[in-house]
Amino acid sequence: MRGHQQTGSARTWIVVTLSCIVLSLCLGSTRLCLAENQSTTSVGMAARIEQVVLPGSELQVKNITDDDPIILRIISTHPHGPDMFRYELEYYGLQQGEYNLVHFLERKDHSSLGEVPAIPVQVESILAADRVEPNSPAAVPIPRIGGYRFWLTLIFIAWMLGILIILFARRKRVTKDAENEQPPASLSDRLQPMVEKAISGKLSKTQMAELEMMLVAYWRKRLHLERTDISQVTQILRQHAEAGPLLQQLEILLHRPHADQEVDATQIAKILKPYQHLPAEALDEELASLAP
Amino acid sequence: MNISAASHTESSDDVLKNARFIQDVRNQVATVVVGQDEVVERLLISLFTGGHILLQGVPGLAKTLLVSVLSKSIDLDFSRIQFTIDLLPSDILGSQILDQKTNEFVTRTGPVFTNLLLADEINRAAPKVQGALLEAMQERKVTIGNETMSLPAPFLVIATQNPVEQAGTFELPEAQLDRFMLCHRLDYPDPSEEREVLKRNMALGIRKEARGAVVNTEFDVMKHKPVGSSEDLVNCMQAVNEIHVSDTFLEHVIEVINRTRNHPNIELGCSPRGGIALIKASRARALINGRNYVIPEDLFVLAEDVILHRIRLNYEALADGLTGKAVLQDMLRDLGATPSLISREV
Repeated sequence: MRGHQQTGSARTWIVVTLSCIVLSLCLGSTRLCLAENQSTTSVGMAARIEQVVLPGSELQVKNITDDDPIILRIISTHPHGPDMFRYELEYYGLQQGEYNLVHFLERKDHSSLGEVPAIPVQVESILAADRVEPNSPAAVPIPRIGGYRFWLTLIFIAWMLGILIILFARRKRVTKDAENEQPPASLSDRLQPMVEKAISGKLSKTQMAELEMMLVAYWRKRLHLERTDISQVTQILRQHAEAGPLLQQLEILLHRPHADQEVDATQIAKILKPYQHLPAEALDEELASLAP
Repeated sequence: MNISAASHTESSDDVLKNARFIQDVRNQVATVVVGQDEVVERLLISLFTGGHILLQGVPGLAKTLLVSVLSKSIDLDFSRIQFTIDLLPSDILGSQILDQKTNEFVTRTGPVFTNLLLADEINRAAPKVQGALLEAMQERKVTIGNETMSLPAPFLVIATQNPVEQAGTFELPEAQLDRFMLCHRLDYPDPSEEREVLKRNMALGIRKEARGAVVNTEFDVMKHKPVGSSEDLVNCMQAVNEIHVSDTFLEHVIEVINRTRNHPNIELGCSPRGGIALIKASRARALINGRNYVIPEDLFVLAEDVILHRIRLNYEALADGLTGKAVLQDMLRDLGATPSLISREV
């Protein structure tokens, strides 16, 4: 029984001793690791330090000032045993040198920082040691006379001149064209010479067809049927006292079988006689007199 | 020659012989269909010239009734196909079916094998089906499997299109529209005609069938006795071909066709087929009106039906709100009023 009690207390002692050794080794290794594996980065490049265990209450980053050479950020904080916290830190240096990140930390409860192991970091510069300032720009002489406003004004004047030239040239051309262009021949102007030719038998078949259409157009205009459906016009004209016989006789002369062989000039002269001495402006005058 | 003795209705014996048949057909149609003289005339023109016709009009204008009564009047076979989106070419042309007794393929001809084919709402079918029908219309032959068969003579397609409902339709392209000799736009009847339609409909009554009764329709009162035979039709077709077309009339046709090609508002003018159709239709109209020669009136009356579906307005004209009909009317009014294009070229 006594032997059993001695064995149990010995075991307890062994467990406690081993725990202390493991704890001290862990703490020692963390600090050792920090001391040996000093974090290094170049100016402006972010670097991370993970699993940093710091004793005491929780820490936070001090307020940043314009002169701080290091920007530090705590990414995450976790409790790590009694009265200790484990941190994940990120920093980037603005100036070359060796720094202790602890200097940029403070207690969240605003108590004294106390004894906190150092977190040394090194910020290196990629540039050469003597290259601290950028090259000063070389003075270059202005390559052209004047400046932006001068050129804008010049372009505006050229633009306006171009527009004026185009406008005046077109107006001149339109005036010239209008002077040269003759007004299109009216129906009355064209009808009389065609009738004359038809009577004298000088009209080709194409022209004879045109004459037939001209006479239809003449009567359509004379009877104010210009807006009437064209399919109804011939039926109306056929019933007219003057136009009807004319169109029927023309149809017989021009369209009946055997009409292609020869068109009797005397018959043509007979039916077109009333239109032979029709003054060119007769139709227009007649229509003008009928107008309200 | 004494001109006054002649008249514009001067007719040869052939014309007189056919006049009775034409009038009988018109009278027979008139017993069932009120008014629509213009459409009847266009259908006869198509029948006499062998050209196909497209009727554009809203539903309920007696298109089917008209074609049905026309076919019965001349003792012709008549089929009707209602075009739908899911119609297949084989539904129209026919197909080969395996006869399980003989283990051989047997050809079953489709409804296209008829004299008068009413293709109702042709724009509702897919382009493949439209193409199949239009090919049959053009060649008058149909190939089913390895067998090529001729369509019966006469063969006339009367297609219809509804101009209002355009959703879910396939518009016929200009190239296919060109195959229709005429495209006639049907209008509503005038009040007096409408009154007559209503009166006739009210008098239709009912007929007893077995133990019930059925309300009579216009189709039931249709006379089934034909007023003419296919021989009369052939005579008319022959007579149309003998109608005289003067050189002057030819010049008018060429002038009109040329104007469609050079008009500032028209992007696509009339094809030569348009000119041919204009002359054919004018000849048939001359026969129907008892003349043995064509006159400019035929040209003016038929221009819209022959030309309008063959031309396409340009963007400027459409943007100005112009319609094809208005442009064509203006163009026809300009004939004679403005110098001829042909004489300028000559």
